[in-house]
Amino acid sequence: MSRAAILRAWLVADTPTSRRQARLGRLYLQWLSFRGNWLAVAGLAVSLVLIIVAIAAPLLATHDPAAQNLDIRLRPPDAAHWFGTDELGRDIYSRIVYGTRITLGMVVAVVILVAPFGLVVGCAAGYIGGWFDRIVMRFTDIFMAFPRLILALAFVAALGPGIENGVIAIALTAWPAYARLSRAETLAIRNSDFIAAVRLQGASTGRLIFGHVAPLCLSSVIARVTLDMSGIILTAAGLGFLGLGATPPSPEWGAMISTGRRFILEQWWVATMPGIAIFVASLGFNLLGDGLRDVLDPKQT
Amino acid sequence: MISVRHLDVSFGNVRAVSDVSFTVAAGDIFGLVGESGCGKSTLLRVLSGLNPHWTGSIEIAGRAIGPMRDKAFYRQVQMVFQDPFGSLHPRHTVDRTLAEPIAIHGLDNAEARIARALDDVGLGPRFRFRYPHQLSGGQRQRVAIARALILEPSILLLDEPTSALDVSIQAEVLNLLARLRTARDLTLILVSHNLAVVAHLCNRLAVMQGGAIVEEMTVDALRHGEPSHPYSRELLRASLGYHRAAGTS
Repeated sequence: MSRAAILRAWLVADTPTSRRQARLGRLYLQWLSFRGNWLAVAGLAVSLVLIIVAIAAPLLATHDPAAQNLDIRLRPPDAAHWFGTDELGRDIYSRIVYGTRITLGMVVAVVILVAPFGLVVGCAAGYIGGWFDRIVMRFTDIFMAFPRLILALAFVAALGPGIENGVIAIALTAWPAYARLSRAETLAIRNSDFIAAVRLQGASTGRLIFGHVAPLCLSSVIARVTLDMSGIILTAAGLGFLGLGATPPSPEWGAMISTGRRFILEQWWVATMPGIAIFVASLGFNLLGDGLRDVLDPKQT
Repeated sequence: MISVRHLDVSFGNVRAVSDVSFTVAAGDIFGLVGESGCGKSTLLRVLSGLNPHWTGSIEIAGRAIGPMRDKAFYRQVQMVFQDPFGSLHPRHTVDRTLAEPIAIHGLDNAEARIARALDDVGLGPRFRFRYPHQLSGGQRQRVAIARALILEPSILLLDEPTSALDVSIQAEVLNLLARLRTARDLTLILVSHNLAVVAHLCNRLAVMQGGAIVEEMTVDALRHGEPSHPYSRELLRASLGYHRAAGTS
């Protein structure tokens, strides 16, 4: 047997001999089912490319994204400037490459703020129930009653424009969805026998929520996060477009479209290139999220 | 060992258990029989501590027990559930399931305890790192029994432990329970709608109807066909009829 075949046999073994083998074996089976969905794999590829571009931006960029040169303003795409130049003669390709950092940075910051908080709050509300559940859910109702971008706009208007405040505003509007999702999952499993069995072993409420309930909600939260990333990208770009997100001269995609709007009929590439970037990024995360949702569905065994 | 006096349980306006009293001596295997909805499972959930809404008095090993239980209680009383497909965490390996009670109670020698618990229920180390979906129904129920016994309780509550299993597996699990009871000196309460299962395992039983105990008797009395209450006689006749039809007795 080749080494790969031995590894495969080890992974799919019916009788794993260690905790690690059991866990890796399950991951491998999930990967196999993920791999069968080519759209999801395409989404994963796009997401990985975005991450690599963000990390390697200085190597991939052909120009300084902030360097202005009014002699070459609004040049169409050519060999020197692959995506053309904008109204200040800056290279659009390099700005999009550096913009990946801002966009992904905002997405990651929002997700880190929102997903764990929503998960814990939702699981606790669903498991504990009673007045705690009612208060938390009314709070989510308040946040969810507003369109997301409008609410984010209101927060940014109050906090002042900037990337950090944009992240805070998006996070404040995004967490209720996660709390509601994990609460619904928790309600479905809180009365199952395996939770009752752990209660009968004397487990504390905290142990039950973190050790037994939350891990079952985690997979749908992960899938939702990935699907939501495209929404976060769009909201961030929307804030940038309205001049409330990243401030110039930072190369944020939404802000780039906003400045390109003035020349959209004569110099189409100024607004179109960052638009394509937003489209590709959000579509990639969306496909990835769809695939993950199929693989991680806890109802499947 | 267990003494229940004037136990009442209500769900809203429905009285699920009304004025139930019985005692179980140490080492007894006590059966609770009745049709679906007669309150026998509710009674068991009250005893185990899963249902805190009841009135009356419960004493276990001479100690009065309230609606809220402490860790010492859970080391003394454990429960096996009816559905082996729902009573194991789908994302935890057998190992993790068995390690959990040890971690909760801060016991030492986790490795040895888990290995022994698996041996005791006849599963062995091969099954230790499997997930529930890699096990059959009977194997899952053995894991559930191992989980209940790993805290070394003196009382084991069994809620229809075999009714979700194939007939061929049922006898295996019942024999396992009988063997473990002798080896560990357990007191068992078995809830079942199946009179044959109760007669196979128990030495005393109570017949429940509409939330009340209508008759208590020994299994010997049952075998000799001496139930006095008309409902118990009806149950017995129904189960004998089934056996004759199936040709097993």
